[in-house]
Amino acid sequence: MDIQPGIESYLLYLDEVNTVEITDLRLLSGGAIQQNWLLDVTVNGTSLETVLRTDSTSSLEDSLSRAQEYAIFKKAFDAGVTVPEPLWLSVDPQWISKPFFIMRRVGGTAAGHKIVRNDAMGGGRKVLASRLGQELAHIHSIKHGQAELDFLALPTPTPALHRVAEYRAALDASNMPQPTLEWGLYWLEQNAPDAVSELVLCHNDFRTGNYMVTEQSLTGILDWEFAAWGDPLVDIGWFCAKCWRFGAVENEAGGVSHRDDFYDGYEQVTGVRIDRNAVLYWEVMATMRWAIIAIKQGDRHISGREPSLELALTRHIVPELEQDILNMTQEAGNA
Amino acid sequence: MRDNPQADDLLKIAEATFREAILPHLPADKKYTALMIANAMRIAARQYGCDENEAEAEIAALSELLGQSVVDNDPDAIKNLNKQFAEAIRSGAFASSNKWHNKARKHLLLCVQNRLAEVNPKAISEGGNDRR
Repeated sequence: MDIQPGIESYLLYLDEVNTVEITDLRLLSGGAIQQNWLLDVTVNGTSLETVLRTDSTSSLEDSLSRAQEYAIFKKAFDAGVTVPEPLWLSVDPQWISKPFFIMRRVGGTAAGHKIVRNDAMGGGRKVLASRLGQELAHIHSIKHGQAELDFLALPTPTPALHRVAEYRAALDASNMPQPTLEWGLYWLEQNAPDAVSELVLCHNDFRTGNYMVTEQSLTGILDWEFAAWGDPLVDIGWFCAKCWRFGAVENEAGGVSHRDDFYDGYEQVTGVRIDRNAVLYWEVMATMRWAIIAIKQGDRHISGREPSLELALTRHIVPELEQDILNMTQEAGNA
Repeated sequence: MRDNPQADDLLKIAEATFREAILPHLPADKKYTALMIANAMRIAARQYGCDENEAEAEIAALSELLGQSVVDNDPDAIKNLNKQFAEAIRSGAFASSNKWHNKARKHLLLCVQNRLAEVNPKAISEGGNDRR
C-alpha cells in the first residue's frame, strides 16, 4: 500500500502545518508485530527526520495499540527516559487505514548481534551497561496511579502468578503439548514471589536489540508495546536472561557487560539495592515468556494466517529455551 | 523405489551450494533472509536424517513415567502421551518431592536435546555458567 498520499494529507490537516514535502519514505526491516517506516519530511520549511510506526499485517493480542504506545512514549519522555521524541498520533482510519504515530528518528543501531561484538558501543561496555541501568531506573520511577496510563494492565493476583496463568492459557490454546514448558511453569508457580509493595511501569521488552546506540552513547529506548504495571525485577530478569545476550553469554547484562555494571547504574538512580538472589526467578520467567512468544509466532506461520520463514524459524528456538529452563530450575532447586 | 540422491542429500548439497556460490554475492540487505533460507534447509536436512528409534524410545519412557502400557500401532501415541505427561506435570505429579521427579527431568532434557540436535546442535549444553 502506498501510504505517502495519506501521510501528506494527514500532516496538512494539522493546524500547525501549512506546507509538507515528503523527501523519503520507506519500510524498515524487522518488526513482526509492527511496521516502522523511515519518514523524512519538510514541514513549514523545516526538515524533520522521523520514524512512522504503525500496525503490521497481524499483531499479538497482548500488545498495546499504537495510541497507547504513544501515550507511554510521552510519559517516558517527560520522566527523563531517553526515548525518541513523540510528535504526532493519528487513530483516524481515513489517512492510511490504520493508526500510526510519528516520532523523531534517533541515530545509531539497534542490531543486537553487532552491539554485543563491539567493545566501543555506547562509550564502552561498562558505560553502556551502567547507562542502561540508569534508564531502566528512570522507567521504574513511573509508579502505578498515573491517569494518562490507566489503560495499562494490572497483574493479579501477583505479577508472577499473573504470568503463570497467562502462559498456561497460551499453551492450552496451542495445538501441541509442551511438557518441558509445563515443568518450568510449575516451578514458577511454586516459587512465585509475593506481590511487590508498589507496582511500577515495566517496559516488558527492555533488552539488547530494543535500544538505539552509537559509539558515543545510548540514543533511545524503543519498542514499548508490551509495557504494563509490574514488579521491577521483571525488566531486570528480561534484560539479563541468557536468551537475550545474542551469543555473548559471558556478558550477563544483555550480552554487553557484567551484571554489576548494569546493577550499579540502576542502584545509583533508585538508591535501592537489587536483590541478586531474586533475579534468577525472573530470568526463568523471561526465558519462559520468550518460549511462549516463539510458539505463538510459529503458530502464525503454521496456521497459514501469515506464512513467513522468520516466524517458522522462530518456532525452532524453543528447545534451546527449554534447555535453559531445565538448567536454571535445577540450579535454583525447590519444587 | 526412489533414485538417489534423495531429500537429505539434495538439501545438504543445495544448502552448501547456496552458501558458497550465492550468499557471498548478495547485497547486505538480503543477507539475513539468505541466511534464514540456508538455516531452514539445514534443519530440514537434519530432520530427514533423524533417528526413527528416538520416537519409540520417547513413547517407552513416557509410558513408564505415566505407568501405562504401550498401545501398538497408535499413530497418535506420542502426542497423547505427551499431553498426559504435560497435564500430570501441571498438577504437581512430578514435583521435587515425588520419587519420579529426577527421572522425569532427565527424560525432558533428553527430548529437548534430541530436538536441539536437529535445529541447533551447537546449543546443547549441560548447564549454565552464570556468575550470580
